[in-house]
Amino acid sequence: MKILIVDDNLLTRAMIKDLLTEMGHQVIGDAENGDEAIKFFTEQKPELVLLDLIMPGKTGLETLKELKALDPSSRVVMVTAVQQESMTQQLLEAGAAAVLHKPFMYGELEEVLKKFQ
Amino acid sequence: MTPGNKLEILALLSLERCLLRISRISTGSWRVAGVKVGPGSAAGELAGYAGTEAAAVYMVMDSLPMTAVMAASPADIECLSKGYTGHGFPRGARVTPAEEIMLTELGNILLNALINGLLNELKITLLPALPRFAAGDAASLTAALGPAPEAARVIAAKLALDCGGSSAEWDLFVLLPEDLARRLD
Repeated sequence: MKILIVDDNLLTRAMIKDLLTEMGHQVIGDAENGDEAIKFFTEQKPELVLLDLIMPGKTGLETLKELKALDPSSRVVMVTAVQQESMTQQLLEAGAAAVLHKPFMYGELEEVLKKFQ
Repeated sequence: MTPGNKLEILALLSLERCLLRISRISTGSWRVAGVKVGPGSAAGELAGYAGTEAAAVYMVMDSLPMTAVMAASPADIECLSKGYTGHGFPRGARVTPAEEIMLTELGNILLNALINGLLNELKITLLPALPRFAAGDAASLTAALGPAPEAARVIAAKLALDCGGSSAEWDLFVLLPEDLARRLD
């Protein structure tokens, strides 16, 4: 699967990229904020976006809403350390395909990605 | 349950759950070495870092207002790097950019674990602040945090990591406005 990783933390992007590559996915790009993510999405049309929630500038929730407005069929998985039940609900209502909580295990990421294959 | 006790248990459970997950995905063994709750201040919690170039990751949530901090001594950073990423970054006299990135993400995860436990119990939904990084002695770290809530309860945790023959201990604390703390007593 062609995947875009969006996270403001360079280490997290690298760690997620390693996991995805090990799983046989193709990370076609990474972005450190919402604006970069939207630009990349428009140009490259990844099959899946892994999107952080707390980032400088646009939040992940705002970015998610813009991505869904651009392409309602876009598949976005939120990846966040925020584990508030009502926030998870908001993200799902805004169109997130799944919410993965940091720190997540290899098997949890694999399980989420299986849904889209 | 005595006042403060419920907060201690809440903090302990939230952090233990998070550290158990980190232990499963990393090379180290992570645990909570202690939790205490009581009146206090950021300056008091950071006093142990006087005279050292310590590192802190902090989140200041203006809307509550609530401040959460993770602080670590330079001597413990290599062990934290090894434990979290599997690699010990070359140490210098000061915190390096790579260490800053690692500590910021680790702080983001640990502080959120602590904060989310409290917010879920309070039934408050809040997008936490972006984690920020500061390095310096106790006084400069306290100054970086800005003004604290006038009346706050401190929920402080000491965390410990054993990794490949080395070990580290570092601190996490939240300044919770007293009115919110009372709702959790």
